[in-house]
Amino acid sequence: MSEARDYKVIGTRVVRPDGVDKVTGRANFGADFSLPGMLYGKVLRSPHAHARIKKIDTDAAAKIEGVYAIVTGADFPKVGHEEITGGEGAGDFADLATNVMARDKVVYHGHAVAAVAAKTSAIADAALAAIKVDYEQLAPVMDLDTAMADNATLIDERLFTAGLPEKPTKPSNVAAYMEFKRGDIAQGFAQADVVVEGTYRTPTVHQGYIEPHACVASINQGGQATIWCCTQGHFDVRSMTSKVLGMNVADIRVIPSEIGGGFGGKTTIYLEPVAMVLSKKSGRPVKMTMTRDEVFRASGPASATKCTIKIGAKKDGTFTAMSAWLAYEAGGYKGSSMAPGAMCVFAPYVVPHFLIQGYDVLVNKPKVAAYRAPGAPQSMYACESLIDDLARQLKIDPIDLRLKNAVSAGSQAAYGPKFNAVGFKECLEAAKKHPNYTKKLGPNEGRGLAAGFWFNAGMQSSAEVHINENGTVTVVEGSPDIGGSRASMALMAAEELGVPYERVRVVVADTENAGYNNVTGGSRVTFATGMAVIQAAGDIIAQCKQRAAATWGIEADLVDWKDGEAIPKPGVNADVKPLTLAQIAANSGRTGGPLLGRASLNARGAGPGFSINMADVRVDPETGKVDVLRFTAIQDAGKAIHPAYVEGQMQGGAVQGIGWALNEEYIYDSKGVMQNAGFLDYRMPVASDLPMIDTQIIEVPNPSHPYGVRGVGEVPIVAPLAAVANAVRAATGIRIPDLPLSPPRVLAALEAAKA
Amino acid sequence: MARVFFPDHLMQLTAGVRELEVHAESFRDLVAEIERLYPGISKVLIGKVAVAIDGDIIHDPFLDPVGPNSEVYFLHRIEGG
Repeated sequence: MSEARDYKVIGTRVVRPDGVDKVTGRANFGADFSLPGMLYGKVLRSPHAHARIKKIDTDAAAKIEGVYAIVTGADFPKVGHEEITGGEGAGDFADLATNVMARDKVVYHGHAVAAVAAKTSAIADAALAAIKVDYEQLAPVMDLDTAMADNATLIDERLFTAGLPEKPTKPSNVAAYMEFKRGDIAQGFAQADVVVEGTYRTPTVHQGYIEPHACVASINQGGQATIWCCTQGHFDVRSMTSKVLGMNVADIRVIPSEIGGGFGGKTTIYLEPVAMVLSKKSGRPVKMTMTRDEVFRASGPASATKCTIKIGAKKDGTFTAMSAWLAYEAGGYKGSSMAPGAMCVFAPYVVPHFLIQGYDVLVNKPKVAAYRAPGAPQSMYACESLIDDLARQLKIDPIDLRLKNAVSAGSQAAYGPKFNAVGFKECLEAAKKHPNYTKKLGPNEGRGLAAGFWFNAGMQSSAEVHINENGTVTVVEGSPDIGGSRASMALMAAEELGVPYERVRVVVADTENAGYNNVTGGSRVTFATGMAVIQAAGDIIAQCKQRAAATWGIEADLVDWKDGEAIPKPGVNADVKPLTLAQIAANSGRTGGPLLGRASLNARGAGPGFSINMADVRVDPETGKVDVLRFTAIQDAGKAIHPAYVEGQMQGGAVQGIGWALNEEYIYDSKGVMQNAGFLDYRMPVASDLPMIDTQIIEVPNPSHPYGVRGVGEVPIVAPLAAVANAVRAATGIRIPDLPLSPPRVLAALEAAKA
Repeated sequence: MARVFFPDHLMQLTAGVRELEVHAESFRDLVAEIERLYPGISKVLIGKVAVAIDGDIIHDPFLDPVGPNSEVYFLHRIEGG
């Protein structure tokens, strides 16, 4: 259990161990790996958003010199329906298999229909051009309203809505329905003095990781295979690939590269099974790398949504009832982040009566993937926008309105359990005291504020701590480092062992050299893998005490560990000198062999995270362009192991959320073809677009972690959408409910208001 | 007796019961008791949903202790990004 204590290295801003290689270009990412005799694999993708595949003719392509293998859906095993029991949006292994390579139907523009492996990239391109595919085009279903309409074109004729109170009698594009309720919603609204309601839409957006998906696969004649790839979870790559290809898990070794961003988008597989089948067919290693265009069209973005929120409140601001109707696009296969969106939407607030209804809806877009706090930014954008309007209507300060209804320890979350210690009120109070909250604004400027929430995850982790012969420390773990976690692991090992940070090195090992770890996601690694490292270091300390006791000829329970040394406990009558970790390590061969500590766990008690974001914007009345003048992110981190990395997470999430609010969206033509699949036209914010993001870390320790750690990676993206939108509302006097608030949309709203 | 709460989407398996009291010392025993009341439900409660015991969310619970005054909530599994 967490308790106040003085730390020696926890909370310091040490240099990250992977930093030098990353800024000097030495670090190896997914596309950097090569093998002798390697072929280049490429994917033929559907030119249609919705079509049946009638015939694929690969004869001409196969005759091209330098082509070693061609595969289509016929080369992949049939995969039965089996739920992927990961988290939200996980879907079904049969769908995962057909998403990797289409069988009889394509369900989005860019869906893989064939692949080739050739001696050069140019030959692979020529082979793709020679493959002939005969399609029967079907009407594309490109938005929620169309997909949910009666008599809509069905994307999967065998899909019946799951979760409805009554068993459905006909198929639907609505894959699942979910409902949460408490109290009597009608009574709650009847008790209200004021009722507000709004409908909000968010677009399809991409995580925008800089590094495209890439892998090399190699399988030998005995069926043993190795995959080198960039991923957030190499154990998941192993298990998913084994399911999709019907292979034995033990026959697949996955070696993770450094990762150039993932944000949830690299928690699934796309290229790996394709490269594996090409390797098997060609007898050579096969490398595959997505282009940016392919990343946009064929990897998983975040759901577009339509959310209707209704809030009833007393004149003093007390919420009496809330309802939410939430529809999330899943893409061509079921499994959106609707459920966590529904669970998060009212999580920051105490509300006696509520009803939340969620819909998971198929459309002819790429199957969505996780994106930081999956589902929460969309639903909480809607709710936090409406709370802003309610505050204005009630003439209550928006922080005071939230404080009046805020959850704290003992409050029952809308999604079920009671919260333990949480820091939402502390974030609100910090926002109120922050100098940015009272800075004077100029003409056409406005200030907006919004709250964010994410559960944070625990799950399975394992770690080993090896003590080298000179007393230095190697930590071996299996969680890919996507946010500086090597440094955090080293800090925690150093703190436990009582040695300097610089004496600890961390290795992210592959599936054959590390114990099992769940994916790096859910803001779980510093919490859960960190807990495994702490326990493994504790294992080392216990062994060191035994070794010291044996050396001194006393019982082990008479030995303490302090500041990296074994010492006799106070009062023990032993004429001995303390033994340092280095001394014990140097003598380990004589006292029982090498020092190796290990721990594995299924971490429980991940501490929920809350945030408050404040945005100041200026809206150009002539162009509709929105400039962010100031942005302040305040977040409860529990305990910041490395404060600079926590601030980095807060700043990165803020920037992604600002992009979601202001510019980012997939733009489709009438045939369902994305028109802006590149960073020139899919406008993500860059440094010159933004001010420095101000941060303030709040520390309300998580009682379930030895140091009080909460996850910090996902909460930062939740609040910016509404914070920016509320600022635009304040600057213009107009509520524009649909994102992004791009210049054309804002200008149209300004002109409509004038008219 | 631990108090057990089911979300709306699981109430189809509990004949509409949202809340019940169960005597159990571990999650495994708790699910066994619920299975006795609602045959077949354990296929969903183990492996397909998460649980919060006294506020701590746990994926893949099994041997986790349940106290006499514990509050146990079944939840949709959350993994995150």
